Amino acid sequence: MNALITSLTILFISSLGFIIIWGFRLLPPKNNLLAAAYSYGLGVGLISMQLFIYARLHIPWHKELLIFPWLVLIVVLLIKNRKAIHLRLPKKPKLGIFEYLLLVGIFLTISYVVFEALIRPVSVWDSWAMWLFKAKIFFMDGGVFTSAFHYEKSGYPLVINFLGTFIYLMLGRVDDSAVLLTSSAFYLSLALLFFCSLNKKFSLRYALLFTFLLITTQNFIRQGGRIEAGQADLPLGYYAFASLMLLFNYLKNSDKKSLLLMNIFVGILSLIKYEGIPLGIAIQLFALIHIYKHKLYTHLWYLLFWVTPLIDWQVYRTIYQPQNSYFESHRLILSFNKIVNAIFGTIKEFINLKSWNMLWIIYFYSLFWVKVKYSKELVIANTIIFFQLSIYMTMYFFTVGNGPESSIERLLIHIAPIVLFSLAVRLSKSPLSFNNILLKKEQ
Amino acid sequence: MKLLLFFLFALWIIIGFFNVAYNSKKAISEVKEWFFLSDYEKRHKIFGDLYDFSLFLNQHTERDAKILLFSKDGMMYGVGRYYTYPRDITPAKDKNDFIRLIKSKQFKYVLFYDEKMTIDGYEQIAFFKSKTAVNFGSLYKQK
Repeated sequence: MNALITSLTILFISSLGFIIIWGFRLLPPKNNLLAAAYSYGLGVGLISMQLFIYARLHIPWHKELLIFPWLVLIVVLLIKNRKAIHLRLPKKPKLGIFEYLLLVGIFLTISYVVFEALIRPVSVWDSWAMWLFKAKIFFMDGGVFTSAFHYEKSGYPLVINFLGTFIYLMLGRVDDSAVLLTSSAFYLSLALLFFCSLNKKFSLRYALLFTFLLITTQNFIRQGGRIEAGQADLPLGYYAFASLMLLFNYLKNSDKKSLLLMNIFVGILSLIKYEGIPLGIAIQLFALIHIYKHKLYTHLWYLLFWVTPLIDWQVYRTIYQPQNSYFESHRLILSFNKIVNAIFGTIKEFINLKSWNMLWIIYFYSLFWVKVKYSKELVIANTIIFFQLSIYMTMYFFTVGNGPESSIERLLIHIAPIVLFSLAVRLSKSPLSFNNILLKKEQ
Repeated sequence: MKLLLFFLFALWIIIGFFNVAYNSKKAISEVKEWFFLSDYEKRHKIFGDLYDFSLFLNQHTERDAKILLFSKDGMMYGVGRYYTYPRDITPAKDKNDFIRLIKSKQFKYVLFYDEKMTIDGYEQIAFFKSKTAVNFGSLYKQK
């Protein structure tokens, strides 16, 4: 029963995001599947913001008070856009045997991930010690009190905690097994977004193949529902990828609404974990360069949707959790051994086939050996990948308590979807022989 | 170079399908392993005695209890904290830290896990003995 209520809550969160994207025309109206892929991510950001605002204004977290405002908004948007409602089934594309095989593989893997999420309670350390623990504290306390920050001192932003709390509020109790479905929902949304982003540019077969490669990567499976579900790394990977796709949208069309949605997503990305902040800054830099080049200065206002929640959280944290700063618990150090360990530890992870299949090996191989024509998307994606990797390496090099042994597997999830996307674009542009087999609808 | 890339890519797809088959097979063994267990059995399987000890603590203390924990097992604090909230557990880092904290007299309860110690001003109210291993624990209450 709890799994059903949790599924319905996830559906509600996604519907909320979808109606807002559709109602405010934040994306081109034709691609409902793409809008659906962004919906859950947007909905999670909205309900988290709602819980945070309610807590600060001392509005009780009653189910009715939480759901009613969104229902009003949904009804208003539906009435306002009633003429744009077209209920029709999408056309069934022609599928060959290979596409059917990929679809079966995708379906089986997703089913496995959801099944795994439900079969056991939360078991991974970071989740019960941090993410779901704070969700439990907020639920049991009925709000956000400073005592929570003194008891659980990680100092991370609260989006993932609030998502857990929201599920518990809808359930009326703590269920740390059913709540893991939220991780599966991120897994599913990432797969859908990845597929739609590729299918916009390439053939169905090519998009399906790379989506299949994404979702059969064991590290995603583990974080999506297996023993490592309930952490913030998969959501971070999802938001990073979504933000980048929206950036590409904006760079292509200079469309204000794409920029608005991108800034909302980058805002949420920066409030998942610390690691989202440099990723967000890197993505915003490309948007800023575009704004500057095309003299679209009025677009700068949209950056407030990113900056405001980020500054608000930093101020809040400074006031209510002043004892926690990242560099207090990870002081700076210079050690040759640490540098060697960081480099070898990271390389070792790149060739960890059990976790990543061939992803990193083929990515680096193709980067150096497959020559392609200039592509702005590739340059941006690769810059972001290397920028983020260099941040992680710098932390490993120069801070105490950080090493690849305990975290690189998780950290690479943040950029892995972008890596796979970059690889898909690179291989599509290369003069490889199998390229012609897979690509039917070249850009 | 092209051939190698083609080979690696093909290998990747094969590994992908192998993963699908492996996971499907694993799902069956996971059903056997987990599906028929009760909620308690699942948690005990994951956390072992630490979970039982947390339940023991919930049983013998009030919801708002302030508890000082002395244990060399770092997991005990993490698991205990998660399963006993809203009880407030403070871990002692070592023996000196424990002596310093106990002198502050701010803890109604003192909890030992896999440790033995005598303390003034407290009386033992409950004793935990593992059903499956050699772990033990004692709960003391301020007199």
